Amino acid sequence: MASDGPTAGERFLRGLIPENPVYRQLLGMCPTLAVTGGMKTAMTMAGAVAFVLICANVLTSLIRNLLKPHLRILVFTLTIAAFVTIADRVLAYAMYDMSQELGPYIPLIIVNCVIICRCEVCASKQSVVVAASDAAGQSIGFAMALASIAAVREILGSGTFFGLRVMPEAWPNWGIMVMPPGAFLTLGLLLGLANWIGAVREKRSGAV
Amino acid sequence: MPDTKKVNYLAEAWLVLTLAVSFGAALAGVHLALNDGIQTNKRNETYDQIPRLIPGANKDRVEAGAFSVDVGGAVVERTFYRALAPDGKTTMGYMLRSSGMGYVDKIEVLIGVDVKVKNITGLYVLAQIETPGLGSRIRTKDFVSQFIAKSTTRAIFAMKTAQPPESNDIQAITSATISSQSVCSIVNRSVREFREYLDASIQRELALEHIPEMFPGVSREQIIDIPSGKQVVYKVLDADGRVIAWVGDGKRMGRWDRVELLVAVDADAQTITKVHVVDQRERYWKKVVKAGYLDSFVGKHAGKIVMVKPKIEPAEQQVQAVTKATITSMAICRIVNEVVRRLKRSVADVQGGAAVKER
Amino acid sequence: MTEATDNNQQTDTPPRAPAGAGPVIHVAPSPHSFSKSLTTRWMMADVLLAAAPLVAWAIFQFGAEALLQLVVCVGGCVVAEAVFTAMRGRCPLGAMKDLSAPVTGVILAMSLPCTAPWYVGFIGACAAIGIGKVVFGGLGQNIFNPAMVGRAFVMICFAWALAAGGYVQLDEETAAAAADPESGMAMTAKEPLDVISQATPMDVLKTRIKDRKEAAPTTSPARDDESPVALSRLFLGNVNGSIGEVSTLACLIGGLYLCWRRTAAWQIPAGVLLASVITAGLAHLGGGGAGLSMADFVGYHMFGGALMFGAFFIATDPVSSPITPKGRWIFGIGLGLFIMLFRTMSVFPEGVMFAVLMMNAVVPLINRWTIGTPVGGPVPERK
Repeated sequence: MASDGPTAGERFLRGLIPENPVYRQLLGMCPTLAVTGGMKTAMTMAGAVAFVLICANVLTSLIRNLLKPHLRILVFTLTIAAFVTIADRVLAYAMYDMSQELGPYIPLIIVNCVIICRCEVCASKQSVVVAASDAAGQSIGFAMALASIAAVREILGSGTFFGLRVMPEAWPNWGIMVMPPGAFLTLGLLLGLANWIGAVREKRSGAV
Repeated sequence: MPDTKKVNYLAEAWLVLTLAVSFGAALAGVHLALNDGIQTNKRNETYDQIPRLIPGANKDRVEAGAFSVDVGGAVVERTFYRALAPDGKTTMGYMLRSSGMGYVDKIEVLIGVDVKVKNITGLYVLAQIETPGLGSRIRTKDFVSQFIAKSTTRAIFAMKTAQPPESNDIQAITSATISSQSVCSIVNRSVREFREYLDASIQRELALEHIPEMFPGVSREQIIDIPSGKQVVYKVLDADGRVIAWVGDGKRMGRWDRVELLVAVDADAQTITKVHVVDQRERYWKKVVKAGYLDSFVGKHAGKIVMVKPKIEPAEQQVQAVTKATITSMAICRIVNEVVRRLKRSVADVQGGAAVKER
Repeated sequence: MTEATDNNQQTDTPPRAPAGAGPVIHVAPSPHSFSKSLTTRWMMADVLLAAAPLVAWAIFQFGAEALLQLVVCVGGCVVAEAVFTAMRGRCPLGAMKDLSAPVTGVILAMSLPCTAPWYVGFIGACAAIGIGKVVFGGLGQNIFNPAMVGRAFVMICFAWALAAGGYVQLDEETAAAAADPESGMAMTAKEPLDVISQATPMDVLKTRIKDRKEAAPTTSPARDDESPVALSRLFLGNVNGSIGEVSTLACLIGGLYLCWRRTAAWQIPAGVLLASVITAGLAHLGGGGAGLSMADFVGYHMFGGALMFGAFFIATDPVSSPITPKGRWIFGIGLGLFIMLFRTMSVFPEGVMFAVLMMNAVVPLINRWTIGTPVGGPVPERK
């Protein structure tokens, strides 16, 4: 079946910035706020989401011709839940500390809208290659967004980056940054920044 | 009609069913493959702390145990770990896993105690979400190391000022007094719970340790324990193997905390010969000692003893309460009565049994 | 007030004064400029003028450290205002003219202890202007009092610098030098160091209440290590605390000037003081009196801590307080209740900042409840 719609390359590139899941679509806010206190947790979360997203997208794309329209959400949820459980178990096996620290947020990937949204928008309509590159693009976009927030919060809040000291010893930790208010403030300010950059670029391209 | 409907359902749902079954199989496979590793991880999280909390212990020589405690009506399971010496039998110490409310939320700790549960050998905060920068400093080495070598026989408090090393209190974290005190309370409570659980075995240890103090010259081999219902009484022999005393232990809440005594009666269980203190944390204990209250029981007939007010002159089978420490005095009197009753029953049983045998 | 009139009738007939109503005409929300002294710039200048006694007392009391705190906060606010206004594409100098940034800076500085390091003031200033004001769209659009947003930010960030302990902690060397009569430091800077090394009045009170609670059931009232400060000293301000809050006298002078100039709405401080007096009295009756007499206890709450400063300088910020007289009463009374609630029931010794932020959040609601009915009856809803 010939896929109509964007090509694989387009899908991939769109996921990075123009359709960034966090900064453009405002999806997956729960992990974005909850696990970005440090880079380690944020990147583990991004990895888990990438695994689930790519697997779910590929599988959904493979079975897209068999889908009954009114049962598709059920199939998506089932698929995602299965992969999330696998990701959860593998984390507990390989990175026990991280899995303890992330706690319920790994199982909560099941309700992360980014994944079901990609299944619905892309994977259930387009070929496996397109779906896979779309998932990869979205995952990288999600990871970049989490990294940007987590970097700000960890550096200001703990003076470290990936647990390594980057600020001088005398650096006073900004306690608020590792607490929930810090997550909201950072996300809000970075969202504003992203919008501002977007607006400036649009103006420039309009002027040219 | 019903048939076609069934077929329709199947036609609609076969994909979902197939996926469900295959996912189920896949998850089962993942579980089989990884579960052992996950269990090891879980175990290691706690077990890795054992060498740090119990000096000289090895995480491979550990036995886990559990006991349940009654926390305000709810039964809660508490886990503890017994570290074994290289011979695989002797206990080197215990690590208790416990939790309690902090300033923000539950704090989970691991507490190392020595084999007699008399001193704390280490403390580790497993999980906490106290205020970053303030309460979260309960995790720091500076804070937890203060608990090392503190005695468990007295409650530990978090004080605002620096404490001398011989004090049994610790210094609280500045601006986080509540978090600090919470940790102290968790430690105090957990150790007490554990002591109570271990009572059966520790009781015996304590008794064996204290009885030679009551009867100088008596060695451990001359103390024979005899089960009496759920508890134990001890028969004390002299060098020739004759019974010189029967000893029982009893405990009860005093004014502030538990008072624990050993009471001895003579071989025929007719007279009280000694009252010995094993453990107490009473504030006015000095008054009790000064008044000679414990000795006032000695020589009384092994029957019910009544305590009278401080101002009344005690008659036979009466003891005089200590001024300002009447509740403590009452507790002691009750313990003595309980223990004496038990001792008389046990002695009667033993002698009755012996009489039957002889006949 | 106005008679209840049918909406349909209203739309048909032109508005007219209702027959039975008295001539009660309250200030309506729109900007009816009738006096030159009520421009934003003049109001802000008034606040600066009113803060002068506080600043003077702070510098007299805490010395160069207070001055440094003030310079850092005002400087930080001005710089932040310039940068953020430029980012919004406005002329930075234009926004500077209304003097609101220096006012935020002064109030922020007055609410910090002099022992807080310089970066605390600077970060607080940036947070106050950035998060407290500019993100909402600049002066007049902000929901919360900018200075209090800045203070809350640094309070959560650097609790150790602002928490109760922050006031009393000197580093060991300084403390030793201060205690040593031979050192030059004790000779030159004896007075301010004496004050800084005290616990703040509200801390003393909190500790007393807590000690009493713990000691009460078992022993007779324990002797107090730190007896509360005499009310006369509290009134004058010869105590430790945030640099601007200590002197009740200076707060009263500045505050009454503001009320007289109508820069501050008198209903707000009146409401705060009324509610706090009553609540403190009730708390005393309820047994929370820390062993002080009723008059002492109430006076202590009135003159100690940031209550006066908060009532006259923080709560009266015209942007983040209600616009109607009735609303201002509600705001002031609510504020007083919350302050006393935080002081008596929470783990914090002082509650002005949190109380102000909480009441700021409900100001739109208060405005909606208390907005006056225009002459001629309620305005019909647009369909």
